[in-house]
Amino acid sequence: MSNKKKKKLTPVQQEYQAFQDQRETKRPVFKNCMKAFLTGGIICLIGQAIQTFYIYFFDFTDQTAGNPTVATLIFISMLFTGFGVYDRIAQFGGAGSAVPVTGFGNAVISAAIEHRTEGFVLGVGGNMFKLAGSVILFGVFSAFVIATIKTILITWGGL
Amino acid sequence: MDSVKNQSTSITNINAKKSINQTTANQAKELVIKRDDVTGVRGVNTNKELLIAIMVPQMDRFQLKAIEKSVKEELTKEYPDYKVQVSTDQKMFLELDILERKLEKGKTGEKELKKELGNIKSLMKEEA
Amino acid sequence: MLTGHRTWIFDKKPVIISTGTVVGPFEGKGNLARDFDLIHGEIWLNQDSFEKAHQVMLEEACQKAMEKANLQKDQIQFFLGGDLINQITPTSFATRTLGSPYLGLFGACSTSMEGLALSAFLVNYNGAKYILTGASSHNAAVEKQFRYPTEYGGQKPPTAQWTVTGTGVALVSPMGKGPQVTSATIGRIVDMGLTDPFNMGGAMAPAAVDTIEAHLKERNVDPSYYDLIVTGDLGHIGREVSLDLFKKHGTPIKEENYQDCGLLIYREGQPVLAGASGAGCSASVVYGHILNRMKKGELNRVLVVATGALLSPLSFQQKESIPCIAHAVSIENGGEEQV
Repeated sequence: MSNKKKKKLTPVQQEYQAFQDQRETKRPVFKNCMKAFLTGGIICLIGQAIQTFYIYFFDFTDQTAGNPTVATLIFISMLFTGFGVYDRIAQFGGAGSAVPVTGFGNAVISAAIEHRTEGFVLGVGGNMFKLAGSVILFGVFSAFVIATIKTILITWGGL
Repeated sequence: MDSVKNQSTSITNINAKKSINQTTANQAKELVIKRDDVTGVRGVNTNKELLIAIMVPQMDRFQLKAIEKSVKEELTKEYPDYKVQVSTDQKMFLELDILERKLEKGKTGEKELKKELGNIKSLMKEEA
Repeated sequence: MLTGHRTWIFDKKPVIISTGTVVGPFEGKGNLARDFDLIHGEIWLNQDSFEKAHQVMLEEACQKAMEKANLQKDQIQFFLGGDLINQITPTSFATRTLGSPYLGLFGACSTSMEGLALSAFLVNYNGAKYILTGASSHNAAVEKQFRYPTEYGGQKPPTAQWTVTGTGVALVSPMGKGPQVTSATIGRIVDMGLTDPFNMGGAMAPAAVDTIEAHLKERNVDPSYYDLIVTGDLGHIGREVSLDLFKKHGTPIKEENYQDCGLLIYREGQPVLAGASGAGCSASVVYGHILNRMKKGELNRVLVVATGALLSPLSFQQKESIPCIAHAVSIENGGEEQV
């Protein structure tokens, strides 16, 4: 795919791109990975603490404690996003803050906040899932595909 | 760290002063704790049922379901007269621990024991 | 007068008689705070939306420029300006308040010099007595449109730039006291096939180099003729790349005399990654800081090269590359007051 693209470029363009590439500040991938690992780990640690809290102090089992835990985490993510702190954590942590459910919350909440000026229905309602829409769509779709495959395998293969 | 480990690995032989005799549960616990893949057991019995909660070492958690099944089979074989239920749920372990302490104190009667057990069982039935 | 293929020499030397610059809080904490007329404490400017705030900034800058020149709204012949927002609505709405005949421009971040070049041309050939020209940008409004919601936690790479919340307008006239516009070279679109919208400096550098070299050749001057050649918003990456390109082409540009507005406006500690960008960047820095230095006599001949990346969020999603442009205008300290 990238070769196809490169072929469309003239030699001058290719030469310049190579030239520019040498001078461009590269993303510090290793450092970013470390920071993401740390950030993601801390968020998950907090999540685990919240879950254990719900099991100890309330009538939740291992199975059912997931619900209030996720709800609490998203609530916290909402506060952080609203106070303008989450994007700073994200600049540091990258995927570490985007991948956990708090990142999903941030995507939806930031879009909702942003489009307040265009009204509730078309603005907030219409734009809220601008970023998270693909996550929901492809998440549900892949779950559907996997479930279908599993059903077929069980019915025919007796797994 | 050590004291925590000891707390879960030590099991209580309950002398239920007011309620149903807990010999079956005590014996079952002795049996199960001998296993390598179990680090803690709590359990209570009525005349017809035996409820056991187990704790599993961290690395064996991948085989959680298998261990649960294996313990259940072992106990069902040993005590065919009882309806055996085994759980690896943290909450079950906690609740049974509290129940054991109550029985030991001698304030819980038979009816209360059955009621508590009923509560715990319905908690376990709840789905996400 | 046309020289060469795309350079105008302004024999009547139109004068920039006054300027107005308004910026946001972040810029107010930067290096050039003293050179701006008005610094706002927050980016909403007490308005209902970022876009409205954007419009208000431009209105205030025009107000300042007219105040300093002692002019009324109805004396302005034309307003030439633009911004980065869809259909340049903030500029149009601001001109609604201004009330003067309006020529809306779009050159992305090169709009400021596009406007100045055209204004100087109009004034030079007796097309107008007073023209207001400028450009503006608002960080939150631009991020919302081009990238992600402002509170979204997307990690920006080190090549990304920070859009300035700022406005700069200049009042151009055939007579009066002030720095004079002596020539302009209009840029053409240069597209080197780069596609990363987070690295606009790298994409714009060839356009800047192309226009600067054309200007020097067509005006028949050496780079040393100018005390300062300043680009709009190439940032760290773009500036490095352009300097290397100059070396490669054998154009003797000296590093000390080659600056970038995007690197001047913010302090070292401010988290702006590769530098500042935005239509308001070149406008506010040039009409505020650079002209102040000229008025003090620290600089006598400056070549301002505003650079623009002509992409849209849609074009990027459709896998298009980033076409860029750069317009150059030379501003020089004249002799006596023109009559």
